[in-house]
Amino acid sequence: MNKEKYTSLELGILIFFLLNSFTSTILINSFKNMSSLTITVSILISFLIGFILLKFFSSLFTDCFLENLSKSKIFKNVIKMIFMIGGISIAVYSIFNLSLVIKDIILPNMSQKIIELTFLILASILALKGMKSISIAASLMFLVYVIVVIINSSFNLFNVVTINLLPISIDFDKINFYQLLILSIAPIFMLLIIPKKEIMNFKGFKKYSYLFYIIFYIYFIVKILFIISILGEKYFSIMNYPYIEVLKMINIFNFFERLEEILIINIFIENLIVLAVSLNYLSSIVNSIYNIDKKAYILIDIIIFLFLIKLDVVSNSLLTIILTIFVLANIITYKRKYRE
Amino acid sequence: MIRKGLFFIFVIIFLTGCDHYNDIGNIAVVSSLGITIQGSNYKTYVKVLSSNSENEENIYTESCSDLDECFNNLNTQLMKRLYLAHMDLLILSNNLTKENYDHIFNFFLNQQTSRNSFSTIVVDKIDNKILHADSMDINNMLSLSVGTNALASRVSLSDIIKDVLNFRISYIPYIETGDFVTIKGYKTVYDENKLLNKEESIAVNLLKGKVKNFSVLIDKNTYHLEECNVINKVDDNFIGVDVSCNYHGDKEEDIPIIEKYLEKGMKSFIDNNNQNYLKYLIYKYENRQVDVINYKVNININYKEKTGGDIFE
Repeated sequence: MNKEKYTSLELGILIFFLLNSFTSTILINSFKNMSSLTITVSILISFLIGFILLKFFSSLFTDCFLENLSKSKIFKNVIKMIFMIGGISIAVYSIFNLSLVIKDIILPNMSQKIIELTFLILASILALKGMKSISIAASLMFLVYVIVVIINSSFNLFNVVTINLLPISIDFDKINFYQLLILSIAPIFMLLIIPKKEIMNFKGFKKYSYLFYIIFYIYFIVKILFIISILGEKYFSIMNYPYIEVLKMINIFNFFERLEEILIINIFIENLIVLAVSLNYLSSIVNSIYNIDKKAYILIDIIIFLFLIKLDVVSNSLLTIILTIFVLANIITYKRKYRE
Repeated sequence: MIRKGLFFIFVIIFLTGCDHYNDIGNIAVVSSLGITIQGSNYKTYVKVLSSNSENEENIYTESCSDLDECFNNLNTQLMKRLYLAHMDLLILSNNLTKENYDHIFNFFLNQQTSRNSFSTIVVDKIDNKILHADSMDINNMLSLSVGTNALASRVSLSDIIKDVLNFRISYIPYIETGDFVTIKGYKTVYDENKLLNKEESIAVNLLKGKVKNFSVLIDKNTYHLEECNVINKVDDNFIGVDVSCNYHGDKEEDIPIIEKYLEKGMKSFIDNNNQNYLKYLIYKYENRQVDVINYKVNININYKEKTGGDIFE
């Protein structure tokens, strides 16, 4: 087991990726048929409410989160089951969305299950190494992520048509902040299994968590308005993968074309990190419930379980409900800690 | 060690993507595709690059009630899978209706390999001349048109779909195949089906901001205009179109002739054609849907004395 301490920057980057886990697949599609101002207001409301939840998040860190949940054993196990369901949902949705994107865009004749298995094995190897290795890998991948974002935005600037962001009108009926709030903030609660004493500078970590939270929201709002300014509201609404449609438009000096199959790496990175974290989280929960020592056996069982789940009936609203309960379960432990 | 070995074997057997392996001999790379209507059937013409020689092209046709069926029949005919990712040109015939356009849009949006960034043109009749014309030459001709006579510009299928979604009309370059392949201007499609004349086509390009530098031919004289800029002022249901260009020429007295020509084209485009594009602009700037629009066109040409030789001579 790697006993090195976590630096604040590593954890901050991990928080950025966990916040970003569902943006390219589920969340962008939840903002269809809305004007640009309605989208901006929705994202701002989500940002403000999420800030409060972020404050709870940093206060929940302890040296032994899973053991200090409650004095009552039954209540503790119920909470752990809720955590497990939350972790499984995050893992299931991220692997399903990733394999669906790959099947639709890159490998249409490949079986989706094989694609899922590939990434499950890859993420589990990363999870086996521990959260410290995942955070180091995330820090390295962050560089690649930023480079790809710079390429996407700089070579697509010429395709921006500002009239596509008009008219400036707000439709209060269509304001939808809740899905963004829950799907972005819920995955970061998985980091609570990291003991507080293993974080090098906890105050610095709190600052970085706020910083990367703000960076994420600025990045998301700019990304979605950028996509709408290129595609237009109505074309954006009919596309299955608007982000990838924008990548297809990149044409560097009429020489470098068809780069979307390389630039799609950002979606891989986002989903791989959240999958690795969720597998590590699940193995810790299972270990604390059943006291199984060998992490590898837990991970193999989890992979088989996730592989066999029938994912054709997934719905995004089900994920939102499960993660709401997951976040509330985490917050309840905060209250109980001070009550006992 | 054993775990690593097992994983390695797993990767070799399952995860090489060999399920999706396509030999280049088994795919037919489509260079251009033509679609027309004969009775109630679609007739499709496909120009495929041959893998034997770079310059050799083969044209295949298929006629059926549905584009997907035509595509599948062509796959069978060629004994290869049609590959649209490298398609350069879509040729549509003049007789397509709104429903046909809907089918074409749905067909390409559902094609996994299609990128929808290929040029689209309309022709009166799809014949051997247009099919054998090099798609790259036609693309270059359309791109050059923006900087020369401003009659048309390169329009991709995704541009057409966006226009149709936004204001139910699109302007597609109309090509005539006589002794030479020439650009005649724009053709309106979807809610309106009309060929625009030269002045109206130039007006469309100016309104959409597609041309900055171009030349106009008026009474056998060519006038070169540069740095053209169009500002649309929208107020209630009134739209003011202000066009300003710099004229590099010999005589300042030519300016009224050019202004009159451009104004005539702009007014003819607005009065004699569907005003959906202007109504769309009003909706975007004022957030209101209007039925009738009032407009004012103001053409302002600034004279700049010609210095040095003209590169177009």
